[in-house]
Amino acid sequence: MRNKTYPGWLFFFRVNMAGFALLHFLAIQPDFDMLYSYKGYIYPDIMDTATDHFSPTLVSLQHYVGIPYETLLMICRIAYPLALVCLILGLFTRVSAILSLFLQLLLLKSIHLFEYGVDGYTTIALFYCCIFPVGYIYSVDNRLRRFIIAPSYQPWLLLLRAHLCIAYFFSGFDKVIGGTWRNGEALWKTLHSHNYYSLFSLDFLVHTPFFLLAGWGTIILEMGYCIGMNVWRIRMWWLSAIVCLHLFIALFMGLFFFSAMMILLNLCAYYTPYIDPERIRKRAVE
Amino acid sequence: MHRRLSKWMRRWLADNRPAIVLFGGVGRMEGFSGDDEVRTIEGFPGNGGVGRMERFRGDDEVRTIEGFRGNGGVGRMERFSGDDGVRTIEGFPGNGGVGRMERFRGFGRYKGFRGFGGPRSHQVYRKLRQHQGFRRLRLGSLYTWMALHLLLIILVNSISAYKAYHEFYHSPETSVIVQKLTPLVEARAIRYYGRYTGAETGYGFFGINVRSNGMLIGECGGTPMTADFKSYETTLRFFSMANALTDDFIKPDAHDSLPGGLLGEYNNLVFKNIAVTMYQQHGCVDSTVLLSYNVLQFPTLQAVRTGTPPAYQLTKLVTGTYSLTPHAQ
Repeated sequence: MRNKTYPGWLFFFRVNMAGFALLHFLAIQPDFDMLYSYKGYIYPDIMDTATDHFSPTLVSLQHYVGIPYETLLMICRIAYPLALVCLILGLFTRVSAILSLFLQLLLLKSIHLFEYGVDGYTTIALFYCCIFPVGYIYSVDNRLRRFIIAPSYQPWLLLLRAHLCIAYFFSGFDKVIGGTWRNGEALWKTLHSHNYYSLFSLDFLVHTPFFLLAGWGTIILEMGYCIGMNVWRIRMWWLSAIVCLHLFIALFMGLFFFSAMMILLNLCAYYTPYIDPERIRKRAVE
Repeated sequence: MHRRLSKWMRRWLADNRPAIVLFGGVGRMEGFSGDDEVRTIEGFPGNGGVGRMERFRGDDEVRTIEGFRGNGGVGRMERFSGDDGVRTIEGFPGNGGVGRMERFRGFGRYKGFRGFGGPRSHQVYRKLRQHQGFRRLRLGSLYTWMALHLLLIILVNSISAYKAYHEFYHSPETSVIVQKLTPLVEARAIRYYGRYTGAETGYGFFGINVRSNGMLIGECGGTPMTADFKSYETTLRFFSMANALTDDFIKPDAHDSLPGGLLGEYNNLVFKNIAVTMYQQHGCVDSTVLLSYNVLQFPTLQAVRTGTPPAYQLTKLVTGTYSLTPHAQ
């Protein structure tokens, strides 16, 4: 992978981030009422009591718009996936992205006690869909518009990469300053958290240095991310290792959506920018 | 004409491997006049462009050169003549394309459009070029914002890591820098910005230490009951909620009863809500519902290596008993 980049990654980013958010939202539809309605385990107004209100919640928004809570919930339940579909298609891209971000925060903060790591990344991804020129590449907007001057994509790619470098660095840093990641105990404990799905038990490795090496491997991969991914000679190997790390998290910890999001972000930032569409077209013509 | 042109295009594609068409742009037009001269429009290397047009005559003929499917290209040219007539070159819907040119006559040289697509008219393109200083200012502002955005992310995570370290090792937080930066990072405007941009997100997953997990178990007439969900994702979120709710109780100075204070009262209320819903979900007929948070413990790696059996143990940490009789305490 040399250093020449192409703007096709914007299309990949838009479609995959919006598609991921849509799938993630659809994953909770069977239990939607249990999370959001007054039939759920925590009533919305009780949940709302402890929010910080830096973004609106369904309960607080209900007071402004003056419609019943269940009606507002139904509207948001339909509007959010619709906005994401429009974003995937690249229809009124910027508006769809802003609406998706607003609705994602609205729905997320309405059940703030139920949120976990992947939700933060979804917010970041949707925010970047708002500001990146994702609507200029392979989109319905482009079909409707006849004349476009698309802005440069390099600053946005730099921003995404810098953000990922910072995220991985701090993820590794927080691990290395604790003793349990340095001696393998943390990995052992993580794999035995009961609420995590595991493909098969790794207990047969208890007398091997696997957990120690895997713990250090995780720390090195994360803290060295910035260097490993930005040196072209080792980028492919580091990217493969990061993807394997996230696959391991998915298969042995059951954090499927989190792993999928991280894999997609890494591919968006460090794989798809190097895909030369002309070369693909030539191969197709041949 | 159309079919012959398509055939020409296919042969040209096969022979010349033009640098065309992912992303618009005319490229270059030279010697554009009404006479029967060779005109060349080359696509930019890498991105888009028409490719090549030759022998574009000045008679009042309709010529159509279609760009490449999907992206960029000229699109359509109509009524290209040497007279002072309207010429229209429309870009393809999609990406790039020339745009539109009108009253194109007698120009010696016309530079194509760089990068993506083209402007509406050559006059607009000239204006854009003249405002290069504005473009530099805009780019400078963008990079400044990016730097501040990334700096905020670094600050939030640095302060979070510092506090987590001192909390884990029970050491005092003596850093003056952190004490001065914390109010800045927690300012209202920064919090709003961090919320909507995702800059407030922390990345210390499973750091410094991996938290012990637990589960909420209810009891109805001596029969244990748990929250049942149809999707795995909701189950994961519920466990995450249970952990967040009981964070205070797994710290070293935790005790069995729910503490007083506002947060303790709120947690108690949430506990009660979960208990009542679980009671209703399972059709319990008792007048009292009991809900407990049980920490799931597994021997450490070192313990298993020295012979401890690798078996799970449930340790009841917090119990709440709620009466469903009206006006009961």
